[in-house]
Amino acid sequence: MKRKAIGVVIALLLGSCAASVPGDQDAGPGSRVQVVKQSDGTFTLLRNGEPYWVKGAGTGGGQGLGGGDLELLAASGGNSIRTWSIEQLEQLVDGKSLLDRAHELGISVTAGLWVQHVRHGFDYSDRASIARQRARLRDAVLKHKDHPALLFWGLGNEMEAFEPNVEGEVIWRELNHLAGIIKELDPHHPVVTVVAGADSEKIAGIVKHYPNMDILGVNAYGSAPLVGQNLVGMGWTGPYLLTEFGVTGTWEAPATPWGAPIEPDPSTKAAETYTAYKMDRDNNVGRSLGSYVFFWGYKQEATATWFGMFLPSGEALPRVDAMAYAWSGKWPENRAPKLRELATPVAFKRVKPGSRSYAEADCIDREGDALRFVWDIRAESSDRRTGGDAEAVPPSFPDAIEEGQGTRRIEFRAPDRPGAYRVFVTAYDGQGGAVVHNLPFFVED
Amino acid sequence: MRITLALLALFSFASLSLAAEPGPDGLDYGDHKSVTLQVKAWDALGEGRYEDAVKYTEKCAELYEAEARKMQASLSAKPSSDVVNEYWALNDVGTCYFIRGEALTKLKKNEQALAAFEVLRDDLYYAQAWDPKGWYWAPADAAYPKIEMLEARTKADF
Repeated sequence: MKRKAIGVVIALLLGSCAASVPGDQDAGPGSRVQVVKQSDGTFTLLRNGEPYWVKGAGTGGGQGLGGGDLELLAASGGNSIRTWSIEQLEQLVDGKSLLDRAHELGISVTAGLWVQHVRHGFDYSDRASIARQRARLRDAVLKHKDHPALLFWGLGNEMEAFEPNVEGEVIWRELNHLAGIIKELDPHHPVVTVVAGADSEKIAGIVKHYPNMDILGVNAYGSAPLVGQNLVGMGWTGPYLLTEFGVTGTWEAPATPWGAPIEPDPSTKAAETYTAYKMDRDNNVGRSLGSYVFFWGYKQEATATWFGMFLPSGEALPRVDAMAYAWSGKWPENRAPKLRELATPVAFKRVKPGSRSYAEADCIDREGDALRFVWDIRAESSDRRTGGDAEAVPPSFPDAIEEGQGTRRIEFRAPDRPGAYRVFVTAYDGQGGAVVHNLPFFVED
Repeated sequence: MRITLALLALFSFASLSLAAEPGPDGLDYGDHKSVTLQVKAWDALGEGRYEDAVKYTEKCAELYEAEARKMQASLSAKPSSDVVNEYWALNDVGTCYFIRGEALTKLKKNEQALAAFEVLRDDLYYAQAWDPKGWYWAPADAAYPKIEMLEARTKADF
């Protein structure tokens, strides 16, 4: 096995015409990661000399995020995680940092280095602010560069997006400078910069002003399966990572007349996530280095359940099963329950305050586990943000549920206050799996 | 261009004679213009009236698919944004096929949904849809992953 692997590596190196930085200088105890360009223009990722395909997930706690189960990620066939900030790496769980916990499980880490956004008040013409940011980045790289779990430096996330008053060139030039600092301090871990979707203008700006970037990271949702082919049309000839993907985005989904995005059902979300992974992997061999599904944990964004693959209480949702199937080719022994139908007469309708209705769930458990149902009437989010910024969780109205809590069917009263709401159901299998879905309705006089 | 405008006027005139009569299925098809049917189909999809959404798209195809296919056949590339509106039938019928696929997926009629998305992929691939956020998108491009997903669902239990 080992001989075969060495043979593969030698063959890859012989076939390569140029190795992108970082190089193969030997220094320090950390991992060695290289992206090797082959003579046919394709790319191979080598980690400690072995070909490596990223089967990853975005995770980590803080900043409105709740991290998911890393042991389950490893058991599901995943091999890498992506974080957004150094603070996430340093959070201790049972006395261990995220980097240490990942390493123990054989999981590599794309370590996010948060680079400030203009929309959060950062001024890229303020030299003092820029100097402080560069110093912070330098400290972070020096602190973690020799950790054996480190795979890539994730320099910045969607900095170019949602910034209508900022010229991309300013951002790309500063990122190029920061990437240069990283390469000088740590030549063994390539730099990935993540953009919010790709378009020709962005790619042209990166090609022109950001030559220090090793790997382009693209966050994409509805368009995720087509990122690879679209990048070719935009003129990107380098390697890329799908750095966020999963379900259709809240901004891409059909919406009710009052603007509430309609969340896809759990089976569709699982199938979409699986399909995006598979299409990216199968259609972009030698250009895609792998992907990070979003989000291995929980996150409030439009709803509490749209992007998160876990409940706050830790249960795995069907998209976790779908990624296990995608990564390993096998379904987990215990599947999350399957919601066949959630129905209520008020779905997508306008109803009177206090009007009575019902909701029911047609749900099965493949292993025959007894299911426990929890229902929730919740206001529509009124704290919608852009770019995944942390949102407040909207209020719940437990008194609206009059009968049936804990069972497959409830009787409920619409809240008295006019406005947009959703009825949520969560089914728990008692074995660490759950399924959750919601339907929107509107209360008006 | 003149011919297109003349055709548009002709279709608009023809649409007036059909206006405001609810169909035998009780649905209000408005002025029967392709854009009206497309907008009504989107609205129905957003209101969870999936059967209605399918009916609007069927009506749009019944009235305008022949014209849409002619427009498609006249093209060798996706029309640029300055002329995209000249291909109104192609755009509206193509968009309706996308909506039909989405609505049928919601109704769990996966084989029919697949067929709708395949029409887009195979026959109406230069159709473009206007997003109110300010750009055109290609329903055929969006149909590719939908087709893959529906095929995956026939092989695995998600």
